[in-house]
Amino acid sequence: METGYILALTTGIIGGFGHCIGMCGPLVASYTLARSTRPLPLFARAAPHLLYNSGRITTYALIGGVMGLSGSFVNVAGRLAGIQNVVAVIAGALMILMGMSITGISGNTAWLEVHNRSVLRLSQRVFSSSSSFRYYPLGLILGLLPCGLSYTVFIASAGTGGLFPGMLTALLFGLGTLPALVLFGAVMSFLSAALRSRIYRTGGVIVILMGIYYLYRGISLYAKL
Amino acid sequence: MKQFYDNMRALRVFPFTAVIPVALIVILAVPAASAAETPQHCDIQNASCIMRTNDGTVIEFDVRPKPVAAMIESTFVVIVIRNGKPVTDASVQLDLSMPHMFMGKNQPILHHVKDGRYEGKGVITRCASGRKTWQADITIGSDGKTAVAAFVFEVN
Repeated sequence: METGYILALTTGIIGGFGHCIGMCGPLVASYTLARSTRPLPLFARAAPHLLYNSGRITTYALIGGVMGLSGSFVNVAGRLAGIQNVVAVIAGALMILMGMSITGISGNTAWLEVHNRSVLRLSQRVFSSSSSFRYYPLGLILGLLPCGLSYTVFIASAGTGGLFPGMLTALLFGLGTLPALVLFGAVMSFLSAALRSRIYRTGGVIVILMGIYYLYRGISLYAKL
Repeated sequence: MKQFYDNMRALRVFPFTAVIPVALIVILAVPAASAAETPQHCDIQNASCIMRTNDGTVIEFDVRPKPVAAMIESTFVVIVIRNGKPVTDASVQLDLSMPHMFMGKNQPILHHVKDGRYEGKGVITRCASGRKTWQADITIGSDGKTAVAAFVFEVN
């Protein structure tokens, strides 16, 4: 395996623990907390995390491929910036909606539903469905979140000068981040069970606060555009 | 049983293939021991950064264009002077990182342009946390000697 690929994989492994948990941990915690209260077997508990991360890694690989094909990080990143910042804002809004649903205050948000029908419909499709497969499209979309660490890998993808090498570089990076985020998700699954049984609504409030933080981050990035 | 031994034999390859990523983890996670210089804070938006090392090497670092910003193509400039003379045959390594936030390996490649001036293009990435502080670790290898400099600066 070429050094560049090993480097991408290693960056993912280190970054997963050192960067991704800090930056994306709240998001993983949110969808874990928003899950069903029913006790589930191990695979059923792991499936959402694996599917979410598969979606995220698919997006990384696609962006890496485009970077490699174009050979320019700045040009592609510039075109993506607007979409990424909107996704950051949507992620924050979704987390707030999830938190409201957990705490049970979403029933009193008719005003919100009137003005945000499309976002609500999307979030309902993603979070109200009983199928674990809903986490794959969620990962696909949220894989677009702006992330400094993935930018560094996309620079390397652009440097490969080809569709497949660029794709493979980003794919290996994404796979490298998998252990940390799946492990974090598993820990959150156990914690969320405790949170739900004891202080159920507190979990919802935490998700709302994390959503506000994400929303703030998204709007800040949008303002810098 | 034979199948078992075959599998075990195949597994022997694993430690060797695992050594490479583990070694890279150590290299990436532990800051270079040679970069022992205390980082010097500098106002890169208005001036270049200059440091004189213990062996008398003067290392000047600059980023163009100004204002220095994230997510644009920038030109990184390192000027190396030793004993008042430009060093034209050095190997110059630039390592960009964020203090307290792992951002992956970002090492623009610099080439000698003229009179001890080395240039290369690269991108300072944007961190979604909103942090804007970056560090440039510069390692100069020349005549069997190694000089290092580290600068901390803010980007827009």
